[in-house]
This record gives sequence, C-alpha cells and structure tokens, in this order.
Amino acid sequence: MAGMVVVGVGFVLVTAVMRLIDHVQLQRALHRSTAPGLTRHL
Amino acid sequence: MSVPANGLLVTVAPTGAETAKEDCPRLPTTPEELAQTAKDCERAGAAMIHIHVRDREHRPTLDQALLREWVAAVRESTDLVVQLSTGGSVHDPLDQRLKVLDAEPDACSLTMGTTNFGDDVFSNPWPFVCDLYQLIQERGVAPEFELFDLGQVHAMRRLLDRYGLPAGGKVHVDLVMGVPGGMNGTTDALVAAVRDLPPETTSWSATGIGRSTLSVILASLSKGGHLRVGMEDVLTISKGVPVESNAQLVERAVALGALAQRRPMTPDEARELIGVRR
Repeated sequence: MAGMVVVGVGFVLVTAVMRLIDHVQLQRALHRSTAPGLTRHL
Repeated sequence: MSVPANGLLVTVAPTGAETAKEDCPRLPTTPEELAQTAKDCERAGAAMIHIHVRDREHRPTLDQALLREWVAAVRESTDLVVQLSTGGSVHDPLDQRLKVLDAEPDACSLTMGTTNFGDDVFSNPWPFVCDLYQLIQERGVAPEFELFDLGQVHAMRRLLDRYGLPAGGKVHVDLVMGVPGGMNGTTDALVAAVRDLPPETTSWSATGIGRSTLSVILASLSKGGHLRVGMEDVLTISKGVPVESNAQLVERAVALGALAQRRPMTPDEARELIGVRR
C-alpha cells in the first residue's frame, strides 16, 4: 500500500515538474522569438 | 485533374525565421527534422509546405546549397508542394532573396509590400517586388501573393495590371494576419481583404499569428478560403499550452475544415489549384 502511494506521489511530482519545464520553455520561446504577435497569448 | 469544390488546401509553415531552436526544441531546423515533419504533416492532411531554411547552427540562412538540400529532403520523403519563402529573415539582403528561386521550388512566397514587423521592418520595396515577380514568371514558379496589410491588396492589383498573370495562370493569395504592423487578425479584416482581392484571384488562404490563429481559421473557412498553419505562426495550441508538433496544428485545421464539410486536398490537387507547372 505504502509502495503504491510512493509511486503515485512520484508520478504526480514528475508530471508536475515536466509541466513546469514545458511552461518555462514556452514562456522563454514566446518572449525571445522575434516573430511579432506570438506573445499575444501571454 | 480538377480541383474539388469542397477541397481545403492546408499549408504548413513549420519553422519560420524568428524562433530560436534553443528556445523551442520542437521546431524543425535540420533537413532530417524537416523531412520527418513533412511526412507527419502530409499524413495529417497538409498538401503544401512553406519553408524557411536554417543553417547547421539552426540560424536562418539563404545559403543556396542548404536551400537545395532542404527542398530535396522534402521531395524525397513526401509528395508535398514545396514552397520556399522569398522573405527569408528580416535581415536578409534583397539580392539574396532573389536567388531563392535558383533552388527550383514548385512555389514561392511573394510579399506585396514593406511591413513593420514588430520592432523590425520586413522590407519589400516596390521595385524589388516587380523584379522578383518577373523572375518568378520567367522561371515558371507558382507564386503565393503574401498580403500583410490591406494596402498590399491594392499593390497586388497594380502588379497584375502591369505584368500579367503568373506562368501557371493561377493567382493564389495568402493573407498573413495579426502581425503587429500589419492587418489585424479578425474576421472584419479578413472580409475587407477578400472583398478587395483582384478579380484574377483564383484561390486564397489565410493564417493568423499567435492568438488570432483560431479566429482567422474560422473566418477563412466561413468565407470559403484555405488555411496555413504551423509553428512559424503559432507556438501555443491554446493559452499557455505549447504546440507539440506541426502535425498537431495540421490535424486541428483539418478537423475544423471537416466541421465546415471541407476535405483536405491532395498535393496534386494543390498543384492544380495554384498552377504548379510540371
């Protein structure tokens, strides 16, 4: 049971970190791209 | 071959010249990545690919050898219509942009005027437009008249009056909307531009930059136009959610087209539509 909880929490944490990385990468791409208009999503 | 009345031309613009590879690793910036992207997008329903070339360091370039390598990479892996950008990046000199045609694409973009491009200027002086158009006619390449602003609709009319039709006899237009400095990415702007297109126009498509992508897709479909999508124009599939791939954007365009009872054109139908000469 405890093992399953650890696996579940680990999965949630890994997913959250991956989403955070995606988010940071997207914000950086939008801010640094010189394609005008892309940042209107921000 | 005839072009189906309910056909939808989906063009993918996968790379562009403005976003850095290091900021967006999913952007296809090598011939191998472009070939894979082209295959995925063709499978998803794209019929034409609009290409900006990058060098080995992933920077925009108009290097002739690389232009040819990228064109070959797409032709070897797909049947897509190959359209090269003659815009390059905003820093490319005009004479180099003329030489894009030496790479022998099926089609090329032809921007109809100078546009403020965010903080930069996308330079297309009238004499350059005239020179490039005459070269396009001479080489038998199918042009896509790229319009960023309503004034460029009128410029296109002047160009056709002075020099006549493209070699393939078809006049295909792409409205690039939502660029700060150009026309707004709204239904109203699209309707105004389409209303004033020269009577010689045989087909038109539209693309909206950033947030305007969806409103422009929907406006274009409702007016009977075609679509351009891709990571050149948008990096988010919805607010705050990054695009996973160019094929994802093509799939969404095809799905929206299906709602409007339009089916994606094949590359051969696209060749017929825009007048690509064999």
